[in-house]
Amino acid sequence: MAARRISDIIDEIRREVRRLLADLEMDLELRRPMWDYETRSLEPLFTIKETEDEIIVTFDLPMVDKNNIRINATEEMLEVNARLREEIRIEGLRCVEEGTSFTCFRKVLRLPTKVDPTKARARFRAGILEIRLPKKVKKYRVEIE
Amino acid sequence: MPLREQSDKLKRICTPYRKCGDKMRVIEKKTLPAETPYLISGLPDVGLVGAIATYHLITEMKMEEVAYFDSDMLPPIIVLHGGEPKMPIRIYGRDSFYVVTSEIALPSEPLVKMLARAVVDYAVEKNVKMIISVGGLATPNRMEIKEPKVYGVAVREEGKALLKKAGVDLLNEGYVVGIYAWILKECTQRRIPSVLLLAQSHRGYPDPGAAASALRVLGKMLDIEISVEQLLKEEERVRLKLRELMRRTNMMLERVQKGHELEIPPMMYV
Repeated sequence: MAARRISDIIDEIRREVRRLLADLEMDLELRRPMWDYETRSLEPLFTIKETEDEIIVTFDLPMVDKNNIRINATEEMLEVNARLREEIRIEGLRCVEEGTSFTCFRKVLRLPTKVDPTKARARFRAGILEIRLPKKVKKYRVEIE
Repeated sequence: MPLREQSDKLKRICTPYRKCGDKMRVIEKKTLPAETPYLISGLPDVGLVGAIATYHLITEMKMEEVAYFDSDMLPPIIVLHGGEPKMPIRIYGRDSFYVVTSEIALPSEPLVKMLARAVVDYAVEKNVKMIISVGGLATPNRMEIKEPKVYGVAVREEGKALLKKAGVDLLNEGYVVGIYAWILKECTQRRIPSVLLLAQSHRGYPDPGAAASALRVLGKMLDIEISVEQLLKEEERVRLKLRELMRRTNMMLERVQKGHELEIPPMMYV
């Protein structure tokens, strides 16, 4: 009974530590601006999804034309540069000089697992860019004798 | 009005909300003459569908600010519009419609509960006919969908009748997480007719297309003309402007969902 109580306490501490770390991570993430004054670029919203065989990354790229997107991929990294149709001024940004405008989206991200960049595919529809990168190391099903 | 009288008036307005035991209060500037108005709520959620829809509705119907929510637990943010400082969670109104909108993501679960309760308290105070919430339904193949479909969740027969009138299918299976779950829960317990409209939407990207679909349905339900032409014309600009709010909302949703995913009841036993 006593052992169970101790394990409950340990579980509770573990949950609390995880929660605090998640809060800290979120706090640090929110302190990072979604724009870069030096390169006059904006950071796009993106999602990473992992299936058994692929890493699927999507980017929200409004005000961008397909011909103005450049994608570079390595086994571990993905880089997207996309020129905006027109220069954009976003009101209310602190730390940005009056009159600063942004010309492109830019994002470099580390992939969660190694991929084969030569077999990557991309499509762009309604302002959403989807990139499918096949995993380099695939899982094989092991049969039970 | 002398300062002391102004302060007394403010205290009178705030008192009912403080008595609820909640730390969220409504500061009211004016009240609508309608006896049984509707309350439409559009708060940051999946695809920011509700926030985009209510912002468009307020602009399109030329509504004016009638009240705002305040709490010591809210982040220290004041938004400026036309040089005028405003609280980020506000209530607009015109004719027989109150509209609740927010320009910030709610950073914690206790705050979500408090706001949900305060919205329902306000609706009771105003003797509303119904609370209509607008949100998004995360749809994985949203990229392929040209015109998102809108589903509905209803509390009480009045809600179901209103959905039927607009030809909205009920969401038969699934679950609702976040502020709308709290509003539905409060409405169920307090027997307040309520409807939640959920438009198929991108999960993590602002979705004006989904907001337009929800507004079309809302127009049918309430017999009002809501033009979405301008919203669709400015779709890309809206998406660009709302990136930061979307990022914060995504983080909040992820946190709330992670905390509750183990509590979601298995659907097979329904």
